[in-house]
Amino acid sequence: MGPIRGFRKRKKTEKKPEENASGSGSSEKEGPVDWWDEFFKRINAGIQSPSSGLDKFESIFKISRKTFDYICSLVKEDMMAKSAHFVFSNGKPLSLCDQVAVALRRLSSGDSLVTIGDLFGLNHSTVSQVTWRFVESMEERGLHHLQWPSTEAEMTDVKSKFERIRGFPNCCGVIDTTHITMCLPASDPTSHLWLDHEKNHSMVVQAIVDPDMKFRDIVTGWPGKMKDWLVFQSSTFYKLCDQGERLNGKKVELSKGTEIREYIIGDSGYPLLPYLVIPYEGKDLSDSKAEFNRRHSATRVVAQRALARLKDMWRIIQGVMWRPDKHRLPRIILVCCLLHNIIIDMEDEVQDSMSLSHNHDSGYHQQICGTADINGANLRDKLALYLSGRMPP
Amino acid sequence: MLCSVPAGKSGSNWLDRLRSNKGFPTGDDDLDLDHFLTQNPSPSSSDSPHSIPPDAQGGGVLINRSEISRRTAAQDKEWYGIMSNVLSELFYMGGSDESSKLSGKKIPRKQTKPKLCVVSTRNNNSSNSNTSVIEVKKSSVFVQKGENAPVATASLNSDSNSLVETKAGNVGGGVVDVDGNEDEDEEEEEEEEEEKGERELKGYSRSEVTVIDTSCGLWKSEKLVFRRKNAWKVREKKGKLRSFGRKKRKGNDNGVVVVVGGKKKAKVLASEEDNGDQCTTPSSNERNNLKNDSGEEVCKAATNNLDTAKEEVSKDLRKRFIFSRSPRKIRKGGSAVVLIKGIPADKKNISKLSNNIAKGTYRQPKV
Repeated sequence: MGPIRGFRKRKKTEKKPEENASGSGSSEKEGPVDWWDEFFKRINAGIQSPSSGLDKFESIFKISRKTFDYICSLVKEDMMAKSAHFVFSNGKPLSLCDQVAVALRRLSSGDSLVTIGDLFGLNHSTVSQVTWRFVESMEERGLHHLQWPSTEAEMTDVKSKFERIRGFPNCCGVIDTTHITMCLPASDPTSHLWLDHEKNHSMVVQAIVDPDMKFRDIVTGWPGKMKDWLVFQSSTFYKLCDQGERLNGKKVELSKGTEIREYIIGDSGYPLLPYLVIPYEGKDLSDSKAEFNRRHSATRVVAQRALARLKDMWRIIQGVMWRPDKHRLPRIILVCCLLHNIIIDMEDEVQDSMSLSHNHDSGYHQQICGTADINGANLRDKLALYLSGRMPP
Repeated sequence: MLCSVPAGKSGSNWLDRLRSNKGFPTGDDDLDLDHFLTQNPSPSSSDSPHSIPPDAQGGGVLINRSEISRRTAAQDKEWYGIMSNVLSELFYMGGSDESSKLSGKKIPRKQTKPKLCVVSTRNNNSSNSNTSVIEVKKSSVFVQKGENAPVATASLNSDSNSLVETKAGNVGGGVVDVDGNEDEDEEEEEEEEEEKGERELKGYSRSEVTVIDTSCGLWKSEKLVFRRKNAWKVREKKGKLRSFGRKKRKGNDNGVVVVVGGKKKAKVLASEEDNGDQCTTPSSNERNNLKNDSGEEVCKAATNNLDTAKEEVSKDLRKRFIFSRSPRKIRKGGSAVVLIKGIPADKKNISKLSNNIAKGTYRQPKV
């Protein structure tokens, strides 16, 4: 019943047929269909002309109904506890689906609380509370969707997929960093901490991504002023690797007497380590090194695409956030990453229609770490030789 | 200029008027000013460089004390003496609410050069198992280590330089290791090794961040970030995870208050004021205690322990005394400062206290 003036402008035509199509598409579950039908009517109430922007389930929530239902089942227990006080403006209580819908809409659209409230017929504070409850629940219940490969079979799968991309053998992941930009008050003396090298206030998100664009390791919450390698060096992943407790799996024999360990790859913003391979620096590189860099760069695209999709899908973290709570923001980022992974795990068909942009940090220049470990250099040279086909048999 | 005293209540002495104004019984009860002044001398006030107006010093303390004592049994009196002595070492005990209002200045709540003391709670086999024994580990002045017989631990010594560290292992574990990175070159370095935990952090700006690290068992943690130019130091903030949720907020009262205090101290640290308030760590974790070098180390260590002591003392006081406080103050009441000064009976004081609390509390942001 809320004023949906903004959406009326976006109207085109033919709402009804699409609505029916979407309803019948998931008709195997009676209850949810009813919820969607009612929900759909509610958010489109008072609108004469149909809306092309909000006529499909996927267009509102950016996920399929199947994934939506799965997410509902994940958070059901938490969201339904004491939910009676969440009510629509007309006094009706919010169902589980309503709550998940509100939260997903908030995270995926990045619209303001008021806009979402108007769309759903809710007070904006209810939108905030419901979303936060969802975030709290998801970070607990959905964390198993974001884990380092735990079984050997899983890791073997990751490695073989990486090798299929550009031939990197025994590669376990791609590391990359993106920034969630914020607008912070200049008067706050702590704001300068968040001022990054591009003069934006930002929070760093470090991700290690697998070839399916799934996040396998996330570190976030650090202020933008921290350089990429500092964030990496303060991560648990780094510690585990240093202690030999991660990337300590099977070695691969490239040729007789030459074997390489497990490793990840990253850009020049990271140090060259025995388990982290970065590109060669410099201009006049040999052919093998240049070839190595080309393949390296092409393989790293999975991480760039994953981060670009993360921001594109969950627009609450896209663009400049207005004075966010810096203790809550990392948790919101984590939940967006979890949702990103859930879509992949559910093999949601919405992925197919997503663009494959890899521009996730526009305006940010490549950082150069510049430190190199001798064992890392050896590993990189071996890989370069191997990838250029010059490794002796 | 206690102008809030109603005119109709004249005729009695100022103490009675003040008491009646604050809602306490007046006149001929069993307690009087002399009783308190003789039993509970407050030595530190005379040493203090910040002198408190005598009239202001009288009021709040006396009222509070009389209230406390009125409610406690005689056996608690010696306990009270200890507590008040310890507290007066740590804080200005003056009821400075009104004077500070009038002068427009806020008198610092902490002593500028507090003594080092560690209050530990231990269970005795004797009757009062909950009694906390004040155990002073590191002061040339503090003496007490008795199991059952609490001894007043007043100290008249306000010169921190005279304090000698006798137990290097505990608080002074990382005494003044002057950091090799003192002249920070362009090599960025981040220190996470906690064995090197006690570092030179003077001049570093301090911030709290919530970090998500999915490879860590505790994937959500709160960290302290110290930064000076390109030098970063990170400290864990164990056991003090900021509570957001409704569920988690329960039973974490002290944590909230400590966090609040930490923020205030961070500002002081940043401005490099070199007094006793400077180096403080809001965590009770010993390893998190941050030290400064030179002769101030003991002083700093002392302040490090203030939070610990503050919490312990306030806990103990809370157990033993029933204060007439509003539920809100109880919820926030991890601080001994609130306990001592926070018995306002008039609306002005209540609102002032509430404001102070509100300033420190975290603003609930939009999701």
